[in-house]
Amino acid sequence: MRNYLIRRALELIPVLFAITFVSFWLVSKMGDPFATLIINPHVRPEDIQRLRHIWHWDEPLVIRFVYWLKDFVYPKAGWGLSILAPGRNVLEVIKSRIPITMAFSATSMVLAIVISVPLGIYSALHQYSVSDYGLTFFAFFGMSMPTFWFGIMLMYLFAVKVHWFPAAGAHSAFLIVEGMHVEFSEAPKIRQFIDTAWHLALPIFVLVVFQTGAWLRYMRSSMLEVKHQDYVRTARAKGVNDRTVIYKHAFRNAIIPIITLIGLSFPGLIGGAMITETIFAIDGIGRLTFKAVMSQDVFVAMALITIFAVLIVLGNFIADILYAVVDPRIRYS
Amino acid sequence: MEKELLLEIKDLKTYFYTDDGIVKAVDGINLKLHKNEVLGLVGESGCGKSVASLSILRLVDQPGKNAGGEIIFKGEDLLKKSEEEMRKIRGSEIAMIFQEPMTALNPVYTIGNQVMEAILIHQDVNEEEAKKKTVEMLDLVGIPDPEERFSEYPHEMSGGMRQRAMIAMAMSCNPDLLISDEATTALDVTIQAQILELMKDLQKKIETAILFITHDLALVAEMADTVAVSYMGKIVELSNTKTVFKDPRHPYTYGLLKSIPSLITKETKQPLPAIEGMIPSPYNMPKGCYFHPRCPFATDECRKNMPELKEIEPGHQVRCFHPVENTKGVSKK
Repeated sequence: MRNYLIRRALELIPVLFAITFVSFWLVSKMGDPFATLIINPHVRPEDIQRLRHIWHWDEPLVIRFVYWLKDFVYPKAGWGLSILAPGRNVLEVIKSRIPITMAFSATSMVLAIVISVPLGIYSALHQYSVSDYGLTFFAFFGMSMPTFWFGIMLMYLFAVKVHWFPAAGAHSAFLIVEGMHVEFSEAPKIRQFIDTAWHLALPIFVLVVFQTGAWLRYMRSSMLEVKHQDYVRTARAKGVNDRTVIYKHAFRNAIIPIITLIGLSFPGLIGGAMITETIFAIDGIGRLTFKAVMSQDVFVAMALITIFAVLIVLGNFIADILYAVVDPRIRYS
Repeated sequence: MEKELLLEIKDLKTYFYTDDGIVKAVDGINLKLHKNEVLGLVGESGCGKSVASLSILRLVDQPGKNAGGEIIFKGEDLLKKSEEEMRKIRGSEIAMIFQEPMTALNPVYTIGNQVMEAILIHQDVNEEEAKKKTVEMLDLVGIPDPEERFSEYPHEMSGGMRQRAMIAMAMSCNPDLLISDEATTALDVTIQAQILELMKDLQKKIETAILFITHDLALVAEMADTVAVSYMGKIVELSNTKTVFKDPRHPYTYGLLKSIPSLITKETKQPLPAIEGMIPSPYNMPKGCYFHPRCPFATDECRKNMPELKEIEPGHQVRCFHPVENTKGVSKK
């Protein structure tokens, strides 16, 4: 097992190298990031030349990549300069976005798991019942509804028509504490939390409906398959009661494929949901990615792509390990 | 017959209510099994043997349903028992061994865990005692190094060992009745012989009656005291083993026995006699005797009416209007 882990970890290096190089090449094709600085009247052409030189943009692609890679592994310069947020480096920009994205994605992911797994089991155990059809309808609704459209519809209904939830943003600018307008960051922590939860309710709902739909269906089909296995019959023939048959004998087998799925959605925890974040104007990683790409913010885009690549590869790796933990038939050597 | 009656199946019917029609998998079966006796139930694949055995434990899955009859076990009708009472009987008084030892054991739990589960359910013992008993059982069924094997998973064992573990599981609560549903079919011939030997041995030690279900006539001759031959959910011939093999009177039994290849037919270069035709579609059963389309002795009467199971000589019942005469030399046993 240990050797397997080491080998797998070593295999990640060339994969990541290839991903980053190809992305770097593609991102470079977006255009010259420094050219956009010309619209700023305080920036002289000599300054642009100087910045190009500092960031090795006057060198060939491969050299530029090597400098970038070096900076990524030893981030002395903080992964480069953000064009969008002048004066701040990429690392700072990304770091500032992580908490809100984590809160947003982790909450929706946990909720989606907690909802979809039991509902999937229920659906499987009551196959072809009215509730099963209802859940199936809901699942397909969730999966097939584009998040941007569903998000806008919710906004229209709950923010525009009835003012139950705010339309956008991650929190209010001001909170009223004891009759006074107080800046959000100055308000008590509990008030900050409530306000954030209120703002995130709709976007989290969008994500949960989307993820629950898919996972519910997977859980259902996995459980259905397991339910008719011979060993389930053996357990019943032994006199095991129905609850134990389902939760000990069937569930342990049915959850195995679901674990892979959850492992693969792990990058989403930090990567966030680009579309949902953008629609609801939540300044998380997802929206940052969108903005970086749209405004040729090369260093930010590159850093994000690399982070996603690492997370996806790691997510796979973790799913593989979890797989071996739950399924004794799988042993890595 | 002075022996004590253990199980009496009276006119048992198990029907499958499918969208395409009703499939009468078990269609009025009558069987008697005495204490410490072995009853062989023989028939082709798909003729309702397995469903009959599952019906006894009331483990037939949807859309299969009991459609009448009685299953008197130790003087009480199992079909009238509550689900809770049935659960107490399963595994403790009636145990079952299935065909595929590979799929009949749960892949994610150890052998020990699965054998122990039966003991923990039905016997008033703590975990430690149950474990001790499990190791004893594994030893009893001839699994070498039972203490180490206890913590092995099914996939780490050979087919023969797995079937031994299944037997250990079935026998762990000293059942009065053991149902063996094609228990040796998936094993190769040498292992098959060992398992049969083990079953016979345990049957004597634990004084269990066995309902031995198989399609293999040779195994029945080896194991059973009484043989019931079934065709399309009905018993067509019932007698003690010797009579059935020496003097088969139903054309189906006669045909089956004639179609066993032997060295003699090979020498004389005669083609192997076979029963003409195929088993009928369960959705479209022939009128009259179910066997008449394949029967060389069929008459108009057979095409109109279903014959009753009649005693043609003491202890020998046959469901046929024209029992085969002069059956000398049919069996090479």
